[in-house]
Amino acid sequence: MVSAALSGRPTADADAAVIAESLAEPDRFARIFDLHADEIHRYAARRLGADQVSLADDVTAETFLVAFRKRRSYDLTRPDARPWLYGIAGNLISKHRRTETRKLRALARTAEPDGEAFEQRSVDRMDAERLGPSLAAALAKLGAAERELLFLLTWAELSYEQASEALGIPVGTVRSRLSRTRAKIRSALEGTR
Amino acid sequence: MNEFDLVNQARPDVPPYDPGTKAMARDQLVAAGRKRFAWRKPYTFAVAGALALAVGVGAAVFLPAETPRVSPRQSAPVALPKIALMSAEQVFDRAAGAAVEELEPRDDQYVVTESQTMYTAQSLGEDTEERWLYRTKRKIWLRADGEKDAQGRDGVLQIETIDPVAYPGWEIPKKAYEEKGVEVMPLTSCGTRGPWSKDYATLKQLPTEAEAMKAWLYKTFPGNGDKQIPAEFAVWDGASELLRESYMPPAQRAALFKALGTLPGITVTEGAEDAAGRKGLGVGGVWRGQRSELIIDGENYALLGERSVVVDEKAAGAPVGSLLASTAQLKVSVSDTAPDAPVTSKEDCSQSQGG
Repeated sequence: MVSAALSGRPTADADAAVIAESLAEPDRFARIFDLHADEIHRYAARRLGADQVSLADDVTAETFLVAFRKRRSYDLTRPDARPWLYGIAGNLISKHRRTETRKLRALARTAEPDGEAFEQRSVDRMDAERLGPSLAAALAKLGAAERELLFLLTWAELSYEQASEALGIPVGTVRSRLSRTRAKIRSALEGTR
Repeated sequence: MNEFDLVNQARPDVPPYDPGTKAMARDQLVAAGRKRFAWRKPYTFAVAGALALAVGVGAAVFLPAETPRVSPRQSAPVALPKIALMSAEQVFDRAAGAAVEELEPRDDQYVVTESQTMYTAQSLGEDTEERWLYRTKRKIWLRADGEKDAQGRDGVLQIETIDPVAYPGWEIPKKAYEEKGVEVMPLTSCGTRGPWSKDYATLKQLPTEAEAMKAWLYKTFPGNGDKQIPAEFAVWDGASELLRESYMPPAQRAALFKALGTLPGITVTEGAEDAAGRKGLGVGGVWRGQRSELIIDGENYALLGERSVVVDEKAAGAPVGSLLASTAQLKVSVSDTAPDAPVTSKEDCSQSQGG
């Protein structure tokens, strides 16, 4: 386990084999953690913001627990487990963000009659702190699915094929969603100039 | 500059994953695997086990109306440990010398271990969490020499999931009942064999002197560097795993018990009950708010099973006295054959490792 982690990025076919082994010997699954925890944590931290490190810690731990529980349904023909892990992490991140915005909304309910608008603004504000106002404003106009895809392709550096695995959508849908997303960003940025 | 570059440019620099937090997450993951599959212990009462399950008390308090009315049980609080007069070292010394029926399996035979278990199960949905205690009867066939059998297997595992028990304070979800049934699966290890190998041939290679065994345990189960979790916990956990669902040869068993008896923080309680309702001496320590014990027969000092009882509500996340793990090792024997359970593409090493 340790030697695999120390030898750097393993051959791509290692993950599926390890997951197959872990069906009978659950302890083996720890190797999936050893191989990918840093990468998933980095992604979660970027998505959630540097001031939310403990949330990124939670998301990372939970990602691997969920993956462990779902390992029987893992498609063993997919050698690289990272898209699968990113998919799980992405779901947890959006869940945490929803919780966060709900909490903010509840706190502000008395002062802010328009809850929906407040929720949207709080998301915008979180993004703006990290991304700069004009890009944040552009991203705020995206749907959650579009945003997720965009970050998987950029910050997580996944390929179209890997993103399609992560999100459980066909590659064709990745392409069409992406071109729509880019167009939205472009027009939003032009609008702010 | 295109939109991608813009987003990439805005990619925040984030601090690396804190090693301590990471170690804890890893530990939690391994523990989840243990809860679900790895703790195991057999039984002697076969089907009569249901009767012997003193764990189950008929309190259907949390059962929602639509839940099938299948003899719901709730884990009854366990009386807080009463400290026994004997020390852990004394109990384990006797366990080391206990007269147990010994086996001498041939290389091509299987060591068959039967056990009954109860562990926590947790299911996370989008916004929901469910908890229950799932119970199984397990039977495992392991090739004695650690080699593959004619069908390419290290062994066979049969798991019968039986009625669940309520996790203290939680209602039993419907899905807990849906898991009921029998599963028979081939066991295959693909090349890498870790310290968890429990075939007879491997166990026979372990040290036969207490000091050497202790050194081997500390070296083999080094913990994960997390200061919250003492090295002894990793050693205890590893040793328990080796004793679980295995036949430990007498010399190694004696060395193992003697080694465990000298670990710091290990104490003895009386009236510890295993998953089959048998009472014995509970030898163990407290980690993460739970007292984890090996249960030793007070008459003949044979290993009966294991249990884990909450002693610190905050650290364990369940009320004090909650029984969160319970096992019973029921029978260990030798067999010439193992059940039919062919290796499918899912377990086939040559396929999953890409040839």
